[in-house]
Amino acid sequence: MDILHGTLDLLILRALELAPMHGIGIAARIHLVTHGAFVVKPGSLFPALHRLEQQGWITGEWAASENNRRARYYTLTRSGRGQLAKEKRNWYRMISAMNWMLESDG
Amino acid sequence: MFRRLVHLLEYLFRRRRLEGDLDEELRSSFEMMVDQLVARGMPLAEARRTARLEFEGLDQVKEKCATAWSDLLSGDSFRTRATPGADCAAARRSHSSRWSRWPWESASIPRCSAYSTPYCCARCLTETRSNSCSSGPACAQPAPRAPRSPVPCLAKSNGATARWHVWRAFG
Repeated sequence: MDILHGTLDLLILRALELAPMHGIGIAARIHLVTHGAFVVKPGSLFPALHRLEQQGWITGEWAASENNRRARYYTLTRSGRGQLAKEKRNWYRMISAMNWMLESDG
Repeated sequence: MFRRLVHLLEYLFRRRRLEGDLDEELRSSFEMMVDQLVARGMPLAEARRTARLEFEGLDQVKEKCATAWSDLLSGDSFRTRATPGADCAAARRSHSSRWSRWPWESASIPRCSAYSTPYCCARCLTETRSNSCSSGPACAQPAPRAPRSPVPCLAKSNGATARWHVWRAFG
């Protein structure tokens, strides 16, 4: 299933809400939690991570991965938590609006 | 705004290090993906080939990531929301600021958004839809001899051309 335009940021922020993760970990988490519905390819993931870091919503730090490889772990910042809350609210509003439209009686 | 300025300075002065970090991050991520596939029982050669397909070319991914940073230089992060007139408003603000003399800043000023007015009069800095300024009384000064206005839509030009246009208009 294709990820809706603009929702990748929300998925990444939500994945990072629980714990700091590296890029591959974030993609795996999204794949797992969505029961394989969303596959985030590196070509979309890494530019999004850098964009979010540039916005100050996440921050990256080098650390050793579970396989002892040097990996860049991303952490949600305080402003990132605020942005996540804002994007969640927008998402629920959009879902409600779509439901009203789809379930209307003609 | 301050944070973005810090990011911009970081990009300008630590560009090589950032690019090195990005390169290392992508390579280590590639190797991690290979490790994962091997752990699932895939032969190493097959795992590397699959990971390469997933990454769609490390250079392309690198280029996309670099764009996220270099958008700072092209002004995307400094621009106001792309509404008609926003470009000229940005041009006006920048024109009255001494920072507009800096080349990296001038590259980020009047880039027209796709649907906004494609020209910005270099004389009165109001948007216009044609080659001549249509703001009327707002631009009531005698017409310049040389066709100094309007500034062409910089969204359609590359960075060097954009800089040239802005320097010509405001320099």
